[in-house]
Amino acid sequence: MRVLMMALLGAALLISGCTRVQYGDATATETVTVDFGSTDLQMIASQMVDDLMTFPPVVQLTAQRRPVAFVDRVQNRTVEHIDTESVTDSIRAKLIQSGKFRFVDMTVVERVRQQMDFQTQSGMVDPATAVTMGRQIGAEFMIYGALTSIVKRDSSTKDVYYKFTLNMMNLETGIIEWSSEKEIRKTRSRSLFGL
Amino acid sequence: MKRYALLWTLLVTALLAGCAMNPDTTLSEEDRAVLRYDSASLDGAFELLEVNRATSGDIVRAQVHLRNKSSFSVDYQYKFRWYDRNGFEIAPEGEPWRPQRASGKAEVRLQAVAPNAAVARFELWLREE
Repeated sequence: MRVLMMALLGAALLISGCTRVQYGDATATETVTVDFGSTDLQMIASQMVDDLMTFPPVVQLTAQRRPVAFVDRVQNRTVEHIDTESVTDSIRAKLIQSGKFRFVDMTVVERVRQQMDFQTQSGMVDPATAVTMGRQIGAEFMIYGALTSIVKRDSSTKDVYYKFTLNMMNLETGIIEWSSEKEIRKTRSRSLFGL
Repeated sequence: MKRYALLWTLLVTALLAGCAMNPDTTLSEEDRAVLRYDSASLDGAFELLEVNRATSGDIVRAQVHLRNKSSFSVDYQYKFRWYDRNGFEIAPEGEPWRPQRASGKAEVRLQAVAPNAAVARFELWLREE
């Protein structure tokens, strides 16, 4: 019995000894599977922002001022579960970092309202320091889009094609001022012996 | 007649010399410093042909024209790094490594846009796939 316990303990030590945790480069190319991954997200965000910032009418628009926009959702029309908000978060962050656009965030409106109600109605906040209601700036542009995919496979190959489309609409006129697409093709081939 | 022959010879020599000129000689010191390798195995695998810079408003756009020196395809990754006038790297995590394949002897033009108006110079980094 004691021998068995020792053997089990030894095995457990050996197994735990094999576990290793290390940090990696978050911007490295990720090719673990053909599913939508971090490299796809980063390439899409980078391409969209590059395209938007160099589109001549947008260059003209942002030359003297920083227009206010908001990001609507990006429809996920693929068969995968993809957090498309993560893509738009990256695009918004890059655009803010560029110094060309300002954003309002529609996802926190309710929490902002609660805080403003607290400041103006609770009686606990010095009215001189409370924020004034009705002073928020309205967005001029809405950014929205869609992610689609086509998947083809046979016994040895899986081919995935992603297309990300992003549009920027002028809310007053309804005109789509800018639109861009980014395509990604990924193929996984299984070798003869499945290695 | 002899004079014409001499002129023709001179002209042909000049033309041949022009064709044989290494494109690298037309690159400035600043251009040559653009191309960097992150993998020793890829070092010198590409010939730098041209570096283009342009601006859209106050945002720098970059294009680097390369040629695969090998007759075989090369799988590689590239990334532009951007620096301000004081040498600080801007948004170091902002650019992903992009996978790419260059066929044998193929020419590729890699483009990118600076993350903001503070960019003063850039580098193109290549590494093995």
